[in-house]
Amino acid sequence: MSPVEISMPQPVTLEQAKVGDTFRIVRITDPETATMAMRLGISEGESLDVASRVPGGPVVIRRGAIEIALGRELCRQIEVVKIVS
Amino acid sequence: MSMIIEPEISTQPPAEQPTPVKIVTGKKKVVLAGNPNVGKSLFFNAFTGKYVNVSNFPGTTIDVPKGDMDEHTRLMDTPGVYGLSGMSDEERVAEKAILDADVIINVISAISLERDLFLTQQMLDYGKPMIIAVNQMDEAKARNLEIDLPKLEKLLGVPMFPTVAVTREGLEQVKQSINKAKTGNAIPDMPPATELQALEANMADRMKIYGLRRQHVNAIARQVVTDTSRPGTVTQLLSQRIGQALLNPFIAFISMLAVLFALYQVIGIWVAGDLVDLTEGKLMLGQNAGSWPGIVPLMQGVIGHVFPKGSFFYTVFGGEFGVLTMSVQYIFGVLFPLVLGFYVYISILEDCGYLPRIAVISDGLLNRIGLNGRAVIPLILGLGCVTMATVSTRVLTSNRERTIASTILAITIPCSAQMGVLIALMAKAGGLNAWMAYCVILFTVLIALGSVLNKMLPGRSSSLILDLPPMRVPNLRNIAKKTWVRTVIFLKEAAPLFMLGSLLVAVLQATHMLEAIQATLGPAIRAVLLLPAETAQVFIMGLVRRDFGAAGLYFMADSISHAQLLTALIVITLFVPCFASATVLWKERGIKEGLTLLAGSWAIAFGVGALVARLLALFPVFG
Repeated sequence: MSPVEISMPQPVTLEQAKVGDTFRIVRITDPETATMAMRLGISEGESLDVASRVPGGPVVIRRGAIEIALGRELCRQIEVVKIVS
Repeated sequence: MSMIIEPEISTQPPAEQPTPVKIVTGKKKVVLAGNPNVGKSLFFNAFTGKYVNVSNFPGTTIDVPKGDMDEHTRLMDTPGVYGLSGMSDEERVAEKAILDADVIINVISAISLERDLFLTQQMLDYGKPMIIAVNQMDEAKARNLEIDLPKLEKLLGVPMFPTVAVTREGLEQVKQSINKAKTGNAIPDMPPATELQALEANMADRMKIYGLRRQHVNAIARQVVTDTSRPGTVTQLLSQRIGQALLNPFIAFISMLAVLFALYQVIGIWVAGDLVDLTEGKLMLGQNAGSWPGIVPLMQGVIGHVFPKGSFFYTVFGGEFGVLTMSVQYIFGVLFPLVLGFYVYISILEDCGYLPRIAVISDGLLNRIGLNGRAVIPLILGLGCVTMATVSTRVLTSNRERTIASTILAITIPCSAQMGVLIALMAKAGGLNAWMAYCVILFTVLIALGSVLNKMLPGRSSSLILDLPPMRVPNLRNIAKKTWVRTVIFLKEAAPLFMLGSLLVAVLQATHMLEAIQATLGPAIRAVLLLPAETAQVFIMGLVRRDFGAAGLYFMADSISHAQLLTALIVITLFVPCFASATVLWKERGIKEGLTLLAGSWAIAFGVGALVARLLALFPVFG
């Protein structure tokens, strides 16, 4: 791995995101998931906190005062970059 | 437009065929639309009364209830959807109905405005005349959310009404305001309504339009919703900590054990035991009730005056399984206290925010059998009453998930009526070892069944997307309201089915068909399950009331081996659900799926039973 790659914020999927960090959604890979997510209020460019992760299960995100649990399958489709830790 | 009968005007010279006349129903078409679980069906029930006809939408297996609001207005319910994007059968059905409607009643939830307004805005962009019911206003208040309805009304441009559908607050006003429906404010930069649908069918354009709509809706929600809860208070901090702790698998597991144990204590011992002793034993049958004769014997006395004892009609109406005796005894003596108790328990778990977190924790496991975390609610309810649980599979998002959940419920979940007898019999069958064997076998069947269905059924199940409400001290008023409404709805749906069930059995008994069936079934049971032929009677009784079946075993328990008893208990659990839950299953899932399931449950019950009987004969662990 070259040092350049390390300094660039690499997108990870929401599945890999760490609890307590704040992320911005850069891309939702599967168009069907993107459609679904956008209707529910999760769209590209938005930022969110990861509130908790259930091992082998959903990731809970926090937006303002609202907590939403997202199934693993869904999280795999959501690419995010870390903006604050 | 649809109020008149108009001949199709043609500029062509008349052909040989008679002029086609387009006959349209003379009624205004009103359609209920909204996201899943916002309370739409409560509106439907309140607006239509009893003349409701539920039929499959053409070409699909999706139910669309229709009913008349008055002589000029026809109301149609639609499946709950988050938007009109043709992503599932449910969405296609909702879309067709909405585009075809004269007026739309859009039900949105006050606690998830940001989410719900997407569909609202989409319909506004399509130019549909609409009124909006902002439901669950009580829940929003409980969560310290303030909503500026006049402002929302102004921003959307359509009449708006606050409602609490469970208590019918505000519903009458919605009903009276249908003629005030207006085409509201489309998003200014949107392409015209006529082109919009075609554009949204194209993925690239859809993303742009959806993005624009999402931003617009978020801006509206930000302007009208104020969160008045003060962050950082001790209560809020505590609520957050507890909420987070419950998502830790270890703590969740311990808490789940505690909750299930409490459930067993409250429902299994107090309600199913003590309370039912009172309602069924004393009130209905007059056992140990002093001078009180009991409702059933009183009823039999009256019936005995009309039809002589022992006659056909006496057996049908007043006999052991009579329509006026057994079903009344069962519905009010057993089912009512049981269902009431269960709904109180579930409503408490739900209101304090525990249940949604259990849904999140169990999501990973349920994914393996083609369900998501939401299914935990019907599965827990199944331990109370499978009939009640089958009705509650409506909370699941897709048809596929509803099929899987109802199948698992019908086959593998023992209901609380059975549980009492089961507990007593397990002690006779070898105690802890028998329990362990029983649980392992049922759990294996559950997982196998779910996995097979998940592979076989087309499509894939939806991912969990669930709002987690804050943990809080449950509100007693909320619980009382929810419990009462749910119990009444359930009894209204199930009571006629139980009566139908007992009618069928009573007729079978009066015509001596019951004995004939038992005589035919007996030898088969001996050969396949290695059980005495008399067990046939036990299984037949299990059809009427699951606990009757298990209770029948009680009298045989001392004359058969432990292995045989365990086999019989497993078969009676897997074996068809009781008559009422089978009928609810037909109603909910359609006759074809219902019959398949019935046949499947027989095959599985006897297949697994035969296997267990032989394994236990080979390895005589239970003596």
